[in-house]
Amino acid sequence: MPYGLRRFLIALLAVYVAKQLVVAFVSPPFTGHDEVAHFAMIRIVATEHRMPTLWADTLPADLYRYRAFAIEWRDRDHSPLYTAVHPPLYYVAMAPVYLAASHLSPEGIQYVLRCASIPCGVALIVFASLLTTTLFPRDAFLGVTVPTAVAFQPQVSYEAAMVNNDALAIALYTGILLLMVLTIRDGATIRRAALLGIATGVALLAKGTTAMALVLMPMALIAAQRSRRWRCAAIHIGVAYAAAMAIVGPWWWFAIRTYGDPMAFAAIAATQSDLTRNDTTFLRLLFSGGFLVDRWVETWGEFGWKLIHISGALMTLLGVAAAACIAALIAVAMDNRRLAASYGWRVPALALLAAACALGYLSIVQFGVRFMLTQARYFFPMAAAAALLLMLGLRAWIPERWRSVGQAVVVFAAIAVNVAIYTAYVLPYWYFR
Amino acid sequence: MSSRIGTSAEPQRVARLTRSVGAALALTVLLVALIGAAGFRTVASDGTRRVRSAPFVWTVATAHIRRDAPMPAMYAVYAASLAVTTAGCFLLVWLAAAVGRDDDERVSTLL
Repeated sequence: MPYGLRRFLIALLAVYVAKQLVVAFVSPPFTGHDEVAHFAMIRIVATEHRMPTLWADTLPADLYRYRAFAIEWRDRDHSPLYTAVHPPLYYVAMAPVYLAASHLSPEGIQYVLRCASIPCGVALIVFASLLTTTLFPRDAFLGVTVPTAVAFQPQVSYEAAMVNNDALAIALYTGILLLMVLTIRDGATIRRAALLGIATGVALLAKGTTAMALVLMPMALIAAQRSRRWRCAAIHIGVAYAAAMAIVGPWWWFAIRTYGDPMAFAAIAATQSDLTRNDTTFLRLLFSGGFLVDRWVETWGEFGWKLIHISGALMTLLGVAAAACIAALIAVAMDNRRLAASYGWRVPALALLAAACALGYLSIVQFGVRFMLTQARYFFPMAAAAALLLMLGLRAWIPERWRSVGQAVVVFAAIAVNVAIYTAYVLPYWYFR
Repeated sequence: MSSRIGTSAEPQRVARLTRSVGAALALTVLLVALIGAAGFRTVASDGTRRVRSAPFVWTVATAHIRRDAPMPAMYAVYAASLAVTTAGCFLLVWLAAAVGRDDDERVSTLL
């Protein structure tokens, strides 16, 4: 990695950690989405040394004053702990942090736990940077803009400054995408397939939103074959799935026994009957402009469990910018179709990242067919892939000699969006009454 | 792939440096204006809209954190982090402008 880029990334990581501490402390206690419920999960794991279940555990009555930031907490003592369906990795990892801070008030412990999420965000930026430099080792524009876009994306950053398993899942999934790209570059081996499977299994223990890796894994391993030997590809895929299942299998077995299916969809539907639906179809949601706009708005705002709304003008501006990047990416890819054939391993790697993004959105749509509370953050594991593709599109708009200016403008824009969102909306909502 | 060397490369290098420093300066001025002087149409929880500057909004938030912090160290960490973030944003703009010219291999320029 060139010296200038390395220096920039070190500064970016330092600023990111400081920014995350500001976000963690400036957000009032338990105002993150489901933060109360995730906190209760960690508390049970740390103090009772067991995983909670949806049937036996309830939302913490001592924190009922924060009910506005939880789903359907109507009965103080008997509302189900709806986050209990999540896999255990994040809660087990946070349990020692909880115990170390247990002398503090619940609010104090919660601030410490928020800070403990920041390393997940740091890992995400490092993986995003490695993903970029693996694909484009000497491209300064992408080297600067992709990690910056990830570090300053307001909601993705917010996940890594609150008590929630999303940041861990996002970091692990980005690590899997990096492994897949490296496997495509270097060729598939039994060892790499096993590593990919292990990483996928670990990510599945963090959150179910990483399940798309199970679909991408065979695509990556087939793309990584150096010859058309299907038997070899089948063995690699088998090894990867076996490794993944060996890790996540016990949890899925527990979930099937307890809830009926590995993702506990039936149990969620049973306990959130007001928030389930059967009035729409997959295709209707897929082509629904309103559904897309809702997810876009959640991608940038809707802090405090959909309480804080960002202005339509800013959302439109960001939407137009993203659309311009996508249009340029598609146009350039089409124009260079013949040349693309000579790119070698980068074509399937970029196609894999695009497939990851497409699958991410499709899974949000599929979840939304049944559950009204489908959310944009289920797409966040694809944040680094999306940032890389969008910046690749933006790069096409900028003449080569202006790219160093362009990368500085992107950094400025990322900072400005955060300043505007926190100054105009988030802080006034919490502190001006 | 070819590259200019010697005196023929010098004008390009100077032009690039001029563009980078000019952009960094202009963006620094914009950032100062955004953080220090611009008015934001703030929206409070009761829906009240009022134009306020960033220093005013952040001063009020900081006062709340100082008063309500459940741990004594929290305010100190918050204040230090806010200072580092603010200064770091300016640094990032300059460092971003300084990161080397796009000199990726053929593959990258094709895309």
